[in-house]
Amino acid sequence: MKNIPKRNPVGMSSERIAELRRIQQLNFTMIDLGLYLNTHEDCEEALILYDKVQLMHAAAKAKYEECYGPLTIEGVDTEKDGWSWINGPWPWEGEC
Amino acid sequence: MWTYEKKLEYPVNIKNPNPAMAKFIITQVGGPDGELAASQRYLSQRYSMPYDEGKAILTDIGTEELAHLEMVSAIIHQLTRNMTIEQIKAAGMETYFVDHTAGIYPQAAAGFPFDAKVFASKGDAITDLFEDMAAEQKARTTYDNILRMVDDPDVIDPIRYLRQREINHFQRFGETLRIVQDNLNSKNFYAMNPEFDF
Repeated sequence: MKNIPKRNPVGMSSERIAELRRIQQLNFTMIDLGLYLNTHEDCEEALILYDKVQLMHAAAKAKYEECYGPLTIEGVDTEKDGWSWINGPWPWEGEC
Repeated sequence: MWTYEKKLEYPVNIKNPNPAMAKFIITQVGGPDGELAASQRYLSQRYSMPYDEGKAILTDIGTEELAHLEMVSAIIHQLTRNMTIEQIKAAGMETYFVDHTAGIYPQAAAGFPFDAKVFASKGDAITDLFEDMAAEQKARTTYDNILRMVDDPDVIDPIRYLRQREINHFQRFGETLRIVQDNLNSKNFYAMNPEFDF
């Protein structure tokens, strides 16, 4: 057997987990605000907050992908990392 | 997690309603070899897949199948939009109409509703990948059968696209199977199940 997969992949650093949590929080805020805005499209307060969170999320995502690899296929940097899309850990493995 | 993108993977623009065509094309929404089954098959199997190439292929093809579910649903919607009661009766679509009007409901061509029994998630990489390759071929045959029966170029074009994707996916699953086998004992691939015994 050439390649026995590890049952528990190497865990993510605490810095990486903290940055991922921040992205998850910002993205969730966009999701939930988006639901609210679907039925309250004229709410000025929510529109301003969405705009603010959208920028923070974009910045946090760009920084994370630069340091740790892609979150979506659009985030792959082939020049720097080759085909990093397949690299673990995968989200369902409980290490992230 | 997933995020919705407000576009189809490939355009669907059908000008003329045709409930007779919708009646059998709907099988690629909720039938035994349809796109709903395809997406749930691959996305269910990926959790126990031990190799990164396999995790990526199952995730990405499973995700693309959701886009195909949307495309076939768009085809059904456009074929049943603005249809008259006369057209519904002439097409023999009354049985669908009475339960779902012109809504999209996942069912097979013969009318039975979507059932998870049409796919498997066996927890064995070789078993599952053979299932996946067979599934792509069955879906390709279904699209070939649909293409024998449709004459509207607006329908033929996206169906041909979907048929070609089945062939590409079959190729990628075949390559994934080789990668899995390259990780196993070449004298006996079945000496252990890499999704359970490692």
